[in-house]
Amino acid sequence: MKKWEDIVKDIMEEPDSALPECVFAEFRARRAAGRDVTRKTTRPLIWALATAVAAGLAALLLLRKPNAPEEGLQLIQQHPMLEVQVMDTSDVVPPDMSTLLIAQATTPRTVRQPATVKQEEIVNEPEQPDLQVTEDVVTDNAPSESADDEPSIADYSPFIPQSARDKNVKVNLGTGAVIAGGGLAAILATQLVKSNARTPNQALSLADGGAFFPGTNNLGDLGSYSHRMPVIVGISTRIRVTEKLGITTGLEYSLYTSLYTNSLFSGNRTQHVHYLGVPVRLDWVFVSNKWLDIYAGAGMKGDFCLGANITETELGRDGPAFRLLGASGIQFNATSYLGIYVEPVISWTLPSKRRVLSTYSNEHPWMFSVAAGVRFNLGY
Amino acid sequence: MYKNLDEQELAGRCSQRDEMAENELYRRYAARVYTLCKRYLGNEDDAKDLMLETLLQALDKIDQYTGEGSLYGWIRRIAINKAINHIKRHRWRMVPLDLWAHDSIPEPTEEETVAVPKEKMREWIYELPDLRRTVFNLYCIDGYSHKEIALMLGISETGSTSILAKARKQLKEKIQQYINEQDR
Repeated sequence: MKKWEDIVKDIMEEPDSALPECVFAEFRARRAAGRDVTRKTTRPLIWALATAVAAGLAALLLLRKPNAPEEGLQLIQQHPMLEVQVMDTSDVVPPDMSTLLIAQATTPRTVRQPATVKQEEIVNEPEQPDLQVTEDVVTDNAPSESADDEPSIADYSPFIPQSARDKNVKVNLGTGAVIAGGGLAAILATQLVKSNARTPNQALSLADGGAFFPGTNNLGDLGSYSHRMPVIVGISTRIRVTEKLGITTGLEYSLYTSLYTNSLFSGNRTQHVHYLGVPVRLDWVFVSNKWLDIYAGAGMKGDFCLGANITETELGRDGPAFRLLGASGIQFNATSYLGIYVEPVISWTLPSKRRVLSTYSNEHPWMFSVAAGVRFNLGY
Repeated sequence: MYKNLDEQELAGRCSQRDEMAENELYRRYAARVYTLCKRYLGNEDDAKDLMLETLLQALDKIDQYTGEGSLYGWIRRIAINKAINHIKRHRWRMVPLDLWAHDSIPEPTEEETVAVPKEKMREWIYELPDLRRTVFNLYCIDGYSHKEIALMLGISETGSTSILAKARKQLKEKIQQYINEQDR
């Protein structure tokens, strides 16, 4: 006596006669055209390589030094002028100050202004022996015609310290790509630096070569600043390479916000720096089904500054930032081709002399952020 | 001439990109692979695509067929692996809430089972939830053990047993229901 399951097995193993005739034609066509599985997996790889090359070319174009001197923000060195020496400021002026950095933009909107004291006062009263130097007296040597009663926004705009910019940058893109490919474990093992608000004394001083209130190293209670974690949203695409591996790229918009508080001014000033980034990442999708993908990956990203402003004053464009990154995320698939992702990212920003503005990523080269956006899946 | 080739010779000719041999391989195995794909995936369109992909991949990798075991057995493994990957990738592993897998429905007799039309039986199997259908196919039809199924699907052996019990219960209910309707 046969068990019911054996009878079911016999039924199910019988060839189905409903195989359509046109299937053979399709079989021959696909075989002849080479549209087989191997080609299916190599084609996305070609697309991914093309995308990577295009991203590299775009990065090169954006990285090249500007031809016109008025492009972008620049830092120039200026020697302190003699007006500084007429002041009896033995307890104020740093003895080792040989040069003074002044962040200066060559466009009229971002020209730095002296901070607090009328230049005329210093010039007109050079021989007063009892000149009281207060904390808000500065040794800024900006041209007298640019003196102003009101402190300039540019004076407390957050330019990163010279010492940080003077580091020799020997990491190039090629090295970065190699590190990106194999460095996920190292990235994950890195300690995250907490974002704390710092006082100017802790942060920038003339000893550091900083341009915070140039001319004094005694900022006292003048103020503080803090950087907020960036907000990152994007449109992304993942190109399937193998069953589990995919190359993820796209466009990501990042907003870096910093808050500046200064007792000299009423209220706070907020700096916004806008970046458009192109990430290129190799992702391993270890959980995948109709609705959900969970993945981890590593790669690199180029962030190109679209513009910056502090309160309502435009600061121009800052230099690009290149980061090695490791990410792990979750993607909710609305359809086979479209999903919404949320991914925590750990990144390391490569040092660069071309960046001038101080942002969260300059403060924390090892940076943790959370990106979200829409993703198109290709080749799935 | 190609109809008389044994499996080893046919594989050899296919590896030399002989178009006639490829056509013969299609003629011999397409319907069986299609049937297999259909019972795993439960619908014709997906089954047709998967069958084509399986045969194309088999032809691409025909050099790897060593002659151990039947050629169909080798192609069948490719098809099953592809079907499982397809199910894992495209289907949500959600099954109706049915905590009580143990059933009191009596086993259908041979006469009762044979009385059910084959189309009906196929239809009931296609209608099973993805995971139940996959486990039922792997265990009852393709002869895999619960240990192997657990490895293939990334579930526990107990889970595989439980899912199979639910699939069997659901099919027995269908058979019983059909028999009762016929008796009226």
